[in-house]
Amino acid sequence: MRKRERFIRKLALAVSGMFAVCAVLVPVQMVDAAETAAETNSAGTMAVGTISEKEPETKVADPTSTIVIDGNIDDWKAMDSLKVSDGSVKGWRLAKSADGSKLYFSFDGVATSEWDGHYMWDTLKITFANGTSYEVQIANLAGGWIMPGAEVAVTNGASGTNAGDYAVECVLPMPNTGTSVANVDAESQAAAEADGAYSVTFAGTVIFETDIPEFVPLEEIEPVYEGIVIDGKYDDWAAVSKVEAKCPSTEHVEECLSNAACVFDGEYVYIYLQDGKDGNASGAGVASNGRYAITTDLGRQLVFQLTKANGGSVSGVEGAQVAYYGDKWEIAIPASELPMWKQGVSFGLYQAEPIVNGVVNIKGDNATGPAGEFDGIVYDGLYGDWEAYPHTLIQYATAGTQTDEPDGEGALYLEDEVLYGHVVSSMEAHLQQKGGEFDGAISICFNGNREYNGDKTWNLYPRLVAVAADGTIDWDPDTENLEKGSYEFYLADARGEYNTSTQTNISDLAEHEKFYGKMIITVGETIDETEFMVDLEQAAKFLSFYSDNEIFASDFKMIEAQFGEIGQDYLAIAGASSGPWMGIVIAMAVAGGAVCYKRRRNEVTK
Amino acid sequence: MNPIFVIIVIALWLYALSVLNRAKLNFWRYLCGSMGLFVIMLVTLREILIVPLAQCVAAMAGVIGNITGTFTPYLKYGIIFIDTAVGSMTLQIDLECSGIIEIMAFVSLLAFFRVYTVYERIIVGILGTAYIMVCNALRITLICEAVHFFGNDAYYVAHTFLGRIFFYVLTVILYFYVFTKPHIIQMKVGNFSYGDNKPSA
Repeated sequence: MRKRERFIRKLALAVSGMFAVCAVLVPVQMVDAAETAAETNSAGTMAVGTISEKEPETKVADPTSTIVIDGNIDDWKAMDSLKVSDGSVKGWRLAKSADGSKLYFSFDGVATSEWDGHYMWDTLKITFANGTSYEVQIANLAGGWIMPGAEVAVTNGASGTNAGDYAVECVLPMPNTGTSVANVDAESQAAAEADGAYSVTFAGTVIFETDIPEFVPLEEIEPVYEGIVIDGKYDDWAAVSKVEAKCPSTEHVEECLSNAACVFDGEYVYIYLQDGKDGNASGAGVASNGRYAITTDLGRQLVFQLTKANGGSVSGVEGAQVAYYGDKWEIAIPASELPMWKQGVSFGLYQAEPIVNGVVNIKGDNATGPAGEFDGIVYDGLYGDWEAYPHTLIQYATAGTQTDEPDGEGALYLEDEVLYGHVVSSMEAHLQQKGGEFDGAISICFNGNREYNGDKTWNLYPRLVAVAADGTIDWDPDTENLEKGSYEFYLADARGEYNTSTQTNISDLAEHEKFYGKMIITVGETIDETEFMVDLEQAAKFLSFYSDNEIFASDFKMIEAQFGEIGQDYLAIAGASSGPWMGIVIAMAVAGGAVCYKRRRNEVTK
Repeated sequence: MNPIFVIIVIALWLYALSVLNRAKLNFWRYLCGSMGLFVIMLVTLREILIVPLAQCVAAMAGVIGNITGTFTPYLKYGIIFIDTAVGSMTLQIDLECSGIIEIMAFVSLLAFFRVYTVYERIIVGILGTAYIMVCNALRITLICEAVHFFGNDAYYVAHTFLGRIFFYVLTVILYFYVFTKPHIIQMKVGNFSYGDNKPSA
């Protein structure tokens, strides 16, 4: 009971102490806040959250105060264009400040190139009630000397010779008779300014001061994605977040690209690109060739190229759409043209780090792609089991390729000491070989050792041989210019010391000489594929025969395969053994060792 | 393996345990029990657990891979696909990568460790298993990140040295806190102290 009482007393003291501290500190904060408010009020600004000592003024804000003269006419978006009678501009707008002391004016149109400045010579005419009038060109307004207090800002959205929108935004002090322009005499000037009424003439239309519509500020509304239309207008991209894009070329890293975005709705992959300061997206890339790639999550690539002529075009994909206006591109790639995908895609320059990663299908009813589930590999010459398995790009042509197809793609899979592989090519140059592209310069390297091993003690260098149903070996079969169809070969080793005269049947082969794999080559109209399998235990026997040490399939920790006719890239597969037995021994040794050490020390102490 | 043979082995093992228990040969009981349990688990549970464990490890490592965008797990067959600047590599999570051997060894050693009560052994076993799985996932993540940033050539160093040393150190820490320290303190072999510091109470 005493313990409880003491506890309650301590608790009460603690709570009281907290209240006491608050009671002292809070009034101090309030005084400081009031002093701060007094200081800021005298400076003309108001800090958020402070307490004002003055009574608030009931004042209607001037809507034109939201206009910023920066050449960006987005702040005018809520205003309809005034009538354009002569077709000289796309639209123009006027607004008066609440006290009438300022006239805001903006107009926009199409610039044929980034050097096109014709709009600077457009003329604005102000006519006063007493007949005094003057005309002034935008270029002269921009100078500042002709009408002190006037401000002008201009933007030209054209990129190089690609047309784009321009916008002009200015503010004029009113009433202003522009004496330097009109050479108006002082009497007329005084009369005009005393009256104040005026009309504005622009684009063939006269607007009286009393008819100038009230300015409606643009309401900040969170943009909502409502789909993309390839029309050269980019408002539909407002709700899509952009990422910074840089060209990987060291020569024009900041010039070609500035921003990018990508959206995938299951039907199309929509891509947004914005040119850089001094360049163009069609000149981006290490080879400056504007080649881009959509890479699926299974490593398959679709390559296409952008060119800027005639409002932009895209090559390499059937059914693709593109619009290039100003410095922005929007491209639509049909999903039907995509290679195998499962979850989504990435977009970037060909053979460069993706610019936009992990773009998934935003339409829930078609959330996953046609790839299906990976369910293991069966060596049967049917390639559907490889569709959902990630592949690696194999290429010779580099990023400067002249075609819109990569050289090829391939993948390796390992199960139960058997290595499976798949290579596919749809590049015309390889298709012309009709199977021969899979027969040359094949290397299978182990544990990262890629150096050619002529001693037959490491790595494999398969050569294709044909074996008939009765076991007869054809050591030099036709492997190129094959007719359409599938052909199976066996994998001998190019370094093997076979006696092709006497070893005419597989039964004539010694144990270590038995072929260690098979390959099926399928020659098609638009695509050539091959599937192969390598028995690693048989391969180990082959290598062991020529090696001083016994080699086991378990010695092959990392396996790499190269198809030199297709490209220089290696396909690679590896395990990630944790060395469990050694780990357990070390852990037990340390744990047990510490106990033994303590026992011994204890005995010594005693 | 023949189920009848397994049952016979288990029966013999249980009999040996009971004999050693009655004879109060605690050390031999512990040795026979833990080693026997390890072998029995390896023989009977390996095929059942290897795939779920491989998928689990791939999934855990894949969380970091998906966040960083450096590698992608394919869970069904315990495969991790690593993008590198000059190509890619497929990493397969098999028996020796999944951590199943380490987990079985840990559980076997803990199951007959009388420093803990049965309830404590269950809790420590669950926590230790989770710890080993997380450490293994981190090891694989380390290998994947090294390959991603430094290419396929970094695989050997990352896998053989970095990853294994990282994993061994964490395993030693686990064994120390689970086995060594409680054993020394509770079995009064000696108080546990560091260097010349006074022993802890």
